[in-house]
Amino acid sequence: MSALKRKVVRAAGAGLTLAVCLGLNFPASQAATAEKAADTGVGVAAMRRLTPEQYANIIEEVFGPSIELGGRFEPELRVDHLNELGSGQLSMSSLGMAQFDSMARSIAAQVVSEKSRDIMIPCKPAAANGPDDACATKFLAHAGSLLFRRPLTQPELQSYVQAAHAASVTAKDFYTGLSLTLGAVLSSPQFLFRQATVEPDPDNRGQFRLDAYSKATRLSFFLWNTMPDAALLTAAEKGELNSKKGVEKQVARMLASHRLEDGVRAFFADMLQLDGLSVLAKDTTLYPKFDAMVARDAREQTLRTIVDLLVEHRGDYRDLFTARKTYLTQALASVYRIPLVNEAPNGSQDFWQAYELPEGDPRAGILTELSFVALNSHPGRSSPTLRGKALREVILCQKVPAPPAAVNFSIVQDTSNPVYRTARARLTAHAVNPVCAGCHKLIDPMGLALENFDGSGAFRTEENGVALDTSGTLDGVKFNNAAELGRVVRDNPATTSCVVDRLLSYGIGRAPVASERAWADGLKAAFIKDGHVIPDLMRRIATSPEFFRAEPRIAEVTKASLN
Amino acid sequence: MSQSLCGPLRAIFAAPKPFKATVLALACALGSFLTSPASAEESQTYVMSRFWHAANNHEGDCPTGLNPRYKDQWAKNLVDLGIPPQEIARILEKDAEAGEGRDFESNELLKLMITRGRIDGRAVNTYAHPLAVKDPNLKPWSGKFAYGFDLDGKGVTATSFEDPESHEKGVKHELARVLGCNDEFRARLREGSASALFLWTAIKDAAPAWTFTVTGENLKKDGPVTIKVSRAMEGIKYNGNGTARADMTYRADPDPRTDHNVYKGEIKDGVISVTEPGHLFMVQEPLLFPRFTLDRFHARMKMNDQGVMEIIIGGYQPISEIYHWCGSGSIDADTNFCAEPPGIYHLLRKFADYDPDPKTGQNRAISSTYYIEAVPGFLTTVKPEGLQNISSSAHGGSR
Repeated sequence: MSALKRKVVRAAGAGLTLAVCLGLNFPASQAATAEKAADTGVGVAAMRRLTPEQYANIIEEVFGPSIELGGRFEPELRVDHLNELGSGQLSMSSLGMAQFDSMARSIAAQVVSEKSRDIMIPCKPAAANGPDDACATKFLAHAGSLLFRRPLTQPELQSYVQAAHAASVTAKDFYTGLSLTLGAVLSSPQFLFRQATVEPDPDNRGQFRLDAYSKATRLSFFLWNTMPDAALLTAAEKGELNSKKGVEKQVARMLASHRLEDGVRAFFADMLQLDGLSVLAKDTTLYPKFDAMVARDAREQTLRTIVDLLVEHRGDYRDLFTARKTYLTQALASVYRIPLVNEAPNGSQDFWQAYELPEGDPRAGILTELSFVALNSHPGRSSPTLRGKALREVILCQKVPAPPAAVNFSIVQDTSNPVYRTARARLTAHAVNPVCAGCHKLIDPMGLALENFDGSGAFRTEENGVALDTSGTLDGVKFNNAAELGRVVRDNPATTSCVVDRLLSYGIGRAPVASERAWADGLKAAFIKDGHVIPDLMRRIATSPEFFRAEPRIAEVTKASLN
Repeated sequence: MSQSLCGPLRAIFAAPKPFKATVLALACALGSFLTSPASAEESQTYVMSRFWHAANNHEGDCPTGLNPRYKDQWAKNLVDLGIPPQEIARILEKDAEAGEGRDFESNELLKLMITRGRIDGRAVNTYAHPLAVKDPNLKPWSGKFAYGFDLDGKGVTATSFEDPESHEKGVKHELARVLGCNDEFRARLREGSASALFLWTAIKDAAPAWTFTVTGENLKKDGPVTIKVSRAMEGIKYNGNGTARADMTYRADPDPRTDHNVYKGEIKDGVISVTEPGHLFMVQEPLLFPRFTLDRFHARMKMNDQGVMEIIIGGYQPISEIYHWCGSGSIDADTNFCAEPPGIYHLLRKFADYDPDPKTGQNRAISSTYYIEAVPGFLTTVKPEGLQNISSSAHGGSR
């Protein structure tokens, strides 16, 4: 392509993206659209930005696994301990939009490339050097409905086809025109944000419910962490998702799908804040084994452990805290000091192997995995406080106040202090300060139980030559070590209650409001009755009428959250 | 062996079949280690993470100065070839113009250096025929302290050294004399010379890892042990920061050429030593170190405060093996890590002190000492029919 042509195409592409976005009335804000929904009875009530995983999953679903994404995503926002809740409060910076636009162009170029077009595009243009509206319509209607999770409206489709026509004329190339238009689709808010469109609820006068396609989207992102498949979109089109029976049928199908694994992984990665591992760095002088590969494997280890227990074996959620079966790579095994043979040829990729820790092993359950003990540590030392706080907040959903300002942490941070040679001794000295003592009493005992694991998660029995005391109590129940702490956490009622609250919030994209308390309580009771099986809890949430209710007014959410 | 580390292997399931079998075999073997009082031995394996000649050079230990660097030596070699001074000046000037981008095909100086050997008046490859080159009479090292062992048991002799750390007297280490006055070989033990670092960097990823496995009733106490030197099927595994990764699992190569290096030894005051010297034969990296042989193999091992096992090994090594890595590198060795290979070969012959040729009386091996660093690791034993048992475990520890 000549420089002039490239310039023309670039200008056409930029104009195209802008024109299509403006032409399709990009909503100004979630609050404004919620107001609009309330006023008019229909409209977009909530928007959630796609997570990087969701973006990748959709592109793979629509265009296949060979597409390279490239680019970088903007940081996510954690609200009430979940990124999923933050996704509803995220906007888009100009830099973020530039990244999305760059990725969109790259993906579109790959889709229409000579090697892919025969597979990806269901028709051939009459002439490759000019527009073909019929072929463009066929492609854009199909791809657009998948990417927008609903059929394109006639004005939308017309707008895109016209844009493709114009770009093809300018570039004198049908595929360039189509590529630029697909890029615009991929850069549009209708793709980048999951939109919940509401309509009046015929069964509850004066209230609103999600429309059928929004229901399909909510279901698929909750259960599969990706867009609805063809069957779900068809069910939406036929109105089947407006009946309880229709929803139950689809939910049963979705729970039986292997894609449920993706949904469960996404939820627990969010709940356990495993995204922190992607930026976790350790002092390589102290912890030379802990590198980016180990951090990546640590995340995967925990997610594999979860999927195996909760999805494949439909096990008791609480057993995650005592489970002895896990998965390892050689790199991880070296941190755990576990012998693990890799029989693949030299230079092969490290692979995963199932592994079971024996009775009596100091490691048991996900609290003793690197994804918890290394994640909740400092770069150069362990942290009973961070670990205890994470346990309280992430696993038990309990609130730990932030430390007061102007606290002197020098004793806690000085690991070479000749007097306070263990973290317990340092924290005891630190907690003499009454301002600090209250919170440390709440969080330190659990964190100290995990002191057998250094800042990188490697096992140790002593610190600075002093044997570690890992005993303590949690809500009055005694434990002597990390494995016993896991059992105590397992049996704590807050553990059960917490995962229900988190999963419910994750599913509806916000904290439940006061009027949903009974629903939440019912789910907790049912979860216990069902044997703490996560897929069953997901089924109960997804088949509840409340799951599809319109977002409550923002003021209501703010004032009356369950928390 | 720490039970907390080995216990995890008792059960495994849901792994792909070959891996399942592998880890089950490991598990069973470990389990028997842990539970059977009759076989209450424990093993620890250390995986070599550094390897080089045990140098101990200090300022002033070459009283008449160091041997010339390669460019200066080449100028001398041109004189020995009988080339007139003006011609030598022209050749050197032309070479200097080419700088580091010398063209092997057309550079006159390189051609002369490579073909300066003479057999019956015919030019032959200098590096393949080091004795066809006039002995440049490189200077030997004359220090008093050299790492090593009293290999021949004769105690202090006129040529023996004292080990600078163990203070053993009667140390035989003539290789130190051969290498000690060449700048690229000079170093302290743990630093590694320029040549050592070059060579180690070149071979470490190409060579299978070497392992040292110590087995005894209680490795925390003094007492008898056995020491086995093996070669793994895998290369050394590294951390992200480039250091060798501890606690990785390796498979011992069942190759009978290298699977027999077992020695009686002892632990005394935290030092593990070979007490009954034997013969060591290892296969290493194919290009530079295809074979590594030490007769009357000695070793001593001690863990440093960084958790790294420091190992000193010594024995009589064939000079042909030493010359192989120096001479087979041809002109590249000459310029990078072994200046004047023919001169080194002449020195090796002069100071060889073992294995005389029955016909000529020329010794064919030289007393040598090497320094090795090794990190804890796991080693499994592979038999032809598959993985059979585990021969070692890693350490416990704390930070």
